[in-house]
Amino acid sequence: MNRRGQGGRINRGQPLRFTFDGRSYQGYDGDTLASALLANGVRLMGRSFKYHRPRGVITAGSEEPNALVELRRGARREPNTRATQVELFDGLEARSQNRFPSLAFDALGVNDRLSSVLGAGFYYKTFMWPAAFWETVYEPLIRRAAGLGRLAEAPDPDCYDKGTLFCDLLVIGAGPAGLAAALTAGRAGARVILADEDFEMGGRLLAERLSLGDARAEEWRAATLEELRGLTNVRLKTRTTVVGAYDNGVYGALERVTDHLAAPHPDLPRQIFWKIRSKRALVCTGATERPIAFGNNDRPGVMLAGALRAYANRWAVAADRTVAVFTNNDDGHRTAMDLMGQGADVGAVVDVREDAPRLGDYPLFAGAQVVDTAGRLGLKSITLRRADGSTEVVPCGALGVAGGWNPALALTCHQGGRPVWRPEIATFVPGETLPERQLVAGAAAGVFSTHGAVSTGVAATVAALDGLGIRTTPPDLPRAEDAPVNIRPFWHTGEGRGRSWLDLQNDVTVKDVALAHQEGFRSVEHLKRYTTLGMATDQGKLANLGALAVMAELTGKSIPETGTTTFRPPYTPVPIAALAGRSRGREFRPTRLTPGHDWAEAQGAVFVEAGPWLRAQYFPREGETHWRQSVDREALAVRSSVGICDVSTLGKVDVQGRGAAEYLDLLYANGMERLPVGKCRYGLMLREDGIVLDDGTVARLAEAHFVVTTTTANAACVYRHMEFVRQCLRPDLDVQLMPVTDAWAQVAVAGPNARKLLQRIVDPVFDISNDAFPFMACAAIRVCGGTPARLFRISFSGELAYEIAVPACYGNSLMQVLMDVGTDYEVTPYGTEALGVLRIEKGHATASELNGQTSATHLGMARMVSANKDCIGGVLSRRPALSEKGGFRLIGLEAIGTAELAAGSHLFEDGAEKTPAHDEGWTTSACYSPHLGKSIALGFFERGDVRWGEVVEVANPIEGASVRARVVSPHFIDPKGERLRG
Amino acid sequence: MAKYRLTPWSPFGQDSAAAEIGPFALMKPDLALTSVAGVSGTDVEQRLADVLGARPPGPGGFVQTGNLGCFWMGARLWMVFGSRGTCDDLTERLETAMQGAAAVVEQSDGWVGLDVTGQGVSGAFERLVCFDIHEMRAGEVQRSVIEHVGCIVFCLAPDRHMRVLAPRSYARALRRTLVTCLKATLALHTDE
Amino acid sequence: MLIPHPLLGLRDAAEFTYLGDAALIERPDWQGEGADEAFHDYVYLRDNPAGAHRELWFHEHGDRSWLVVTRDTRTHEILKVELASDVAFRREAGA
Repeated sequence: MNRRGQGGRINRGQPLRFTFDGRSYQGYDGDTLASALLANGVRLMGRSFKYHRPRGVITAGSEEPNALVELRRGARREPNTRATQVELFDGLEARSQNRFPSLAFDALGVNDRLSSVLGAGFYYKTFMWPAAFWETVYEPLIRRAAGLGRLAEAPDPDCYDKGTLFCDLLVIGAGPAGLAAALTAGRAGARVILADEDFEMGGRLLAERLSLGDARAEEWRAATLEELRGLTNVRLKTRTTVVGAYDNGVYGALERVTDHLAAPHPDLPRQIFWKIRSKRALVCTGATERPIAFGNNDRPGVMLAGALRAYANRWAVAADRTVAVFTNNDDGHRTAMDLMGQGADVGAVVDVREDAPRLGDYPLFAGAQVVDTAGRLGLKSITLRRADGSTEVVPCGALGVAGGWNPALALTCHQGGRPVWRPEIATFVPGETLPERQLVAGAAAGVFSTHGAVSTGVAATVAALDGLGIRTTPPDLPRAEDAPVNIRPFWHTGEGRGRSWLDLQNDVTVKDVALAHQEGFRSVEHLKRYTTLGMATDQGKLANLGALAVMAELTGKSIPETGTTTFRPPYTPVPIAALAGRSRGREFRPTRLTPGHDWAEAQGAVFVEAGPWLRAQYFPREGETHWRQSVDREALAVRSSVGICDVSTLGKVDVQGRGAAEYLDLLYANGMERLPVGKCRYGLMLREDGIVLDDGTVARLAEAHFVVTTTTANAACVYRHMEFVRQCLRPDLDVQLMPVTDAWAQVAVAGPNARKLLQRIVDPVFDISNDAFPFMACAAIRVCGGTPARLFRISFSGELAYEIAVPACYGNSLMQVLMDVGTDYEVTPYGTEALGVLRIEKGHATASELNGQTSATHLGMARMVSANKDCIGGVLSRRPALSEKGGFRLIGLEAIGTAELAAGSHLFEDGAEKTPAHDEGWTTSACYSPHLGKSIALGFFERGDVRWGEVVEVANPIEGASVRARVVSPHFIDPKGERLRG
Repeated sequence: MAKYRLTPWSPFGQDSAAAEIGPFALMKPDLALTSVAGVSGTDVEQRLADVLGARPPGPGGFVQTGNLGCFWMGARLWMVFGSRGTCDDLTERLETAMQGAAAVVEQSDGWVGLDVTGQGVSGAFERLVCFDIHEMRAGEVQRSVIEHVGCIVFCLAPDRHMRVLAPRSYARALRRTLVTCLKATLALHTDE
Repeated sequence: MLIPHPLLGLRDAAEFTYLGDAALIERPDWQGEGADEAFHDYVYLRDNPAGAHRELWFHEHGDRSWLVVTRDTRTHEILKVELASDVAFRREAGA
C-alpha cells in the first residue's frame, strides 16, 4: 500500500529498505520510521503496556507515547525507542513490543477484557491471599506480564563520551524563534550554541505550509541556516536534546552521534553527553499538541491533528485516503486544509464550538463531539454526536484530534519553578521564577503565531545580550502569520460505552481519574502515583493537563488551583552509559602503575588491584601451581635470608618549614616535635572523634625537613586532612606540604641479610652498619655510584629491614640491581600476599584493623596517644567508650588443628550459642603462617589483653564453618623485637 | 667504581609515548621540574625572579625565559621547569637561590608530560577538560581533572599545541585516554 | 555546580571535594574548661539551615586551597567565597 503523495522533505533519489516485524518495506532518506511505516500503510505499531490494546503512532515528535519499537540486534538491542525519532537508514531493523505472539494477534489482549478488575491501583487490592502464592504464583506471573520492552542482557559494546561546551547564548530549539534568535546573536558576534533534538533544524517550519515575507518558510529557513553555518562564533548541534536546566546556567544535553548510521566508524562514540555552560540561555522549545479524551480514542489511526499535517507536509504521507478532524480550536481546521491540499478526502471536521469558523470546503459539524470509534486493529469510522443529541457515523481511516497546544516548558521548571495558567489561551506558560539567566520565546512562552515566535525570539536575544554588554542590531523580520488563538477549553466527552484514554503509555483512563478521586487521592501528586498517569517514559506529555482538568472538574476547583506535578530532568530518556561516558569496565577508574611494574611483569608476577593501583601479589616460580606455594616460599625466604618488595604505592608527603615539627606534633597522636634529625618514628593519626584514621612513618631528614608516609588506600584523604590542618587550623605556622608519592620509587629490603645486601649498592662513603645506622634511622644517601636515594630503617615484617627510595625513573632498575647483587643471598622478590603474611605474623595493624571503628586503646597503643599535648583526636580518644578497660583489644589467634581461620569471623566462648548476645569479637586478618605451620589471625576480642590462653570458637556462619583457636599475643614472631635491632 | 649503575626507565616502559592520529600527534617532552613553596614574609618572589630572569607568574599563567619556565600552582607556590639535559641541576640552583626562603622539592620524576599537537586539538580537549579550552591563549595554564586524573594543562599555541602534565603513575592511563579521544575527534570531524 | 574561586575564577565543582560545615575551623581548646563537651559538639553537632550555609570545599584538582563557600541551601546561590586560611587567620586574630 502506498500512501505517499507529492512534495515533502524526503529525498526520493535515495530509497532505503528497512524491516518492521520481519517484513520488508521501502522508505526514503529524510523519513523517520514512523513516517515510512505510515507511507506503507502500516498503522498498527504496538500494543499498550497494561491492556495490550492495538496502538499506532499519534504524534510526529519526541512526545510520542505509543509507537515504541525495539531496534538492532544482539548486544546493541535497545527497547522503547520512539519511532517518530528514529531516522531511517538502509538496513534498519525494527520490531514492535509488548505483544505475543504477534502484533496482530496478542494473547495478553485478554487483559483488555478484564479492565474492570485491572483498573488504577488494582495491585493494592489484590495478590494478597493466600500469602504463600505471592512468591510462587503472583510474582512470577506479574514479572512475565509486566515491563515495557526487553533489555539486551549483554554488556553495551558501544562507547560513549562526555564533554563541556561554553557559550554566551545557548538557544534551545531551532524553530522560527530559535533560528531568529541565533541569527541575531550570531551577527552580533556572541558565542552561540543552537541545539535541536531533530536531525533537521527548523522546528514547525518543517511541518507547516507557512510563508515568511514573500518567500516560503523553507527559503527563509535555508538562508538563515546557511548564514549561521558560515559564522565561526556559532555552533549548530542537531540530534541534540537539551534534557535539563541545572544551577548556574549549566545545561545537560544528549547528542546522538551514530544512531542514524548503518555502519558507524568504530572510533565514534555512539552518544555524547554535554555539559553546556551558558552565560544566557533562551528556551525556544515550542509547544506540543494535546488530545481530547473520548470513547475508544486510542485506535491506530487516531492522531494529533498537528501530527497528521506534519506527516502530510514534511513527509508527503496521507495517513489515509479519508480523514476526519476533531477540534476545539482554529488550528484543527488547518489540518483539514493541508490534507485536502495533499489530495485526501475530509469526511468531517467536528468542532465543539457552536460558532466554529469555516476555513475551507469540508463538511463542518459545529457544536458537535466525537464520542466513539470503530476498527480494532485500525480506525474504520468515528461516531459523532451533534448538539441536538443525534449521532452520525463517518467512515475514515485517520482522525486528527486538536485539543490545544501546551508550551514545552519543562526546562523553565527544572529548578522548582511552577508554570502559570493563562485562561485566554487555555494553557500553562512558564512562571515568573525562571532558572537564573534563562529567557523564553515563541510557542514555549505561549506566543503561538509565527510572527510572534520570530519577534519574541529576537527581542529576548537583544535583552539577553544586553545583559552581557553585547550590542545587537535586530535583523529585518519577514512578515509572517499572526493568527490569534481561538480555543474553547474542552477535555473529554463524558461517559460513554468506550473508555476514554488519557495516558496512552501507562493505559490510564478518565474513569481511573474518577476512581482516584473517589478513593481520596485528589491532589495531583496522589493522582499521579495512584494511577501512574504521567510516570511512563513520555512523562505524561500528552496526558497531564487532561488528567488534572478532569480532577479539577471532580473537585470543583479551577485548573490553576489544582496545579501541576514537579518537572524534573531529563526531559527525554538518557542512557546511563551516556552519563558514564568513558568511565566503564577497565577504564572505570584510571590504573596507576608503580615504578617497578614492568620489572615485576617481566618476572611473571601476578597482579592485584589495590584501589587504582596494580601491585604485584606474588611471583610464581616454575613448577608452582598454587598461590600458597609461592606465598609460603616468599615469606620463608624473607625471614631466612632477604626479600625485596615494591612499596612505592604508600603515600608520601614532603613537609618543610620552621613550624613543621610543631605541625606534625598536632597531626599525630604520638610526639613528633622532638624527633631527632636522622630518625624515623611510627606515626599514629587519629580522627577528631578519637578513632584511628591512618598510620605511617615520620622521618626527619633535617631540622625543618620531614617526609611522612601514609597507607596506600588513605594517601589522598590523609593529604587532604593535612592541608586542612595546615590551612584551616594552623595557618600561622610556617609549613609547606608537597605530595611526592609518584616522585619516589620505594623498595622494602627485609630479612637477616638485608644490611649486607644494601651495603653492596650504597656508595661506600655512607656507613650503614648497625652502630652508625641503628633501628629507626633515616638519611639521604647515594647508591650505585651517585644516584640520590633515601634510606629508612623501618620494618613492617619484624625482620631486620629497610626501605630504600630512589627517584621513580630508577625504580625499575633498582629491583633488577638488587636481584643481581644478591644472588648469593638468594634474594627473593615478594608481593602483597607475602607482605601480608609477614605483617600478620608480626602483629602489625593495617587497614583491616584500622577500619574506622577502632581506637588506639583497642589496638593496644593507648600509650601512644600523648596526654601532654594537643593532637587531632586526643580529647575524644579519652572518651570512656573508646578507652575503657573492659573494651575490645587486639589479639592473635592460632588455629587448633589444620582448619583455616577466616577474616570476618566472629568470636564465641567455646560451646556458646551463636547469637549476637554471645558475640565477643571478630577477626580482621587471617593467613597461613609457614613459620608457625598453622592458620593464624588477628582480631578484636572483649578484654582480649587479659585472656591469652583461652580457647574460643572462630565462627563463620555464612559459610557454615567454625574453627577452634587459642587466643595469643598478636605478635607471633619475635615479640621482643630483637631481630629489628640486630 | 660502582659495579652496578641504575638506569632510568620511561613511565611508558618499552613503548614509545609517541603516536600519530590523523593530523594529531602525541609526544613526550623531557622536562626537569622543581617546586618552590615560599615561606610567608620572605622575598621568595624576588629570588625566583632572579633565577628566571622574569617575574614569577600569577594564577593561570606561565612564563618562559631562555631555557627555563615557571607556572603558578597555588598560594606562594610555583613549579619551575626546563628541558632535561640543560636543567639537571635545577633543584640545586633553586635551593641555592632560596636560602631557606622556600621549600624546594625535586619533582622531575613525579610527573609525566604529553604534548598534543595538530590543528584542531581544542575539538578534542572539549571532551577532556571541564574548563573553556577555546578561550585559552598561549601562555596560560590550568589545573583540572581529565577522566579522574588530576592534570596540569598548558596552552603553547591555541588549538594547535597543548601540553598535559599528570602524576607519573597515571602515564599509561592518560596516554590511552588521549589516544582514544583523538581518534574519536578525527572520526567526528571527518563526519562533518 | 560552579564555584567562583577567589584567585582562579569560576570553576566546575568536579575539581573540588566537600568536607562540611565551616564551623570545623572553630576547633576548641583542648585544655579549656569543658573541653570534652566542646569537642563533642564540634565533632557531632551541626545546624542545618534553610538558607545561607558556610561550608568547606577543597580544591583538590586545582590549587589545593581550602575555601569557605557561603551558599544558600534553598536556591543554591553562592553568596561569598573566601580562602579558608583567611577565615582562620581572622578567627585567630579575634580570639
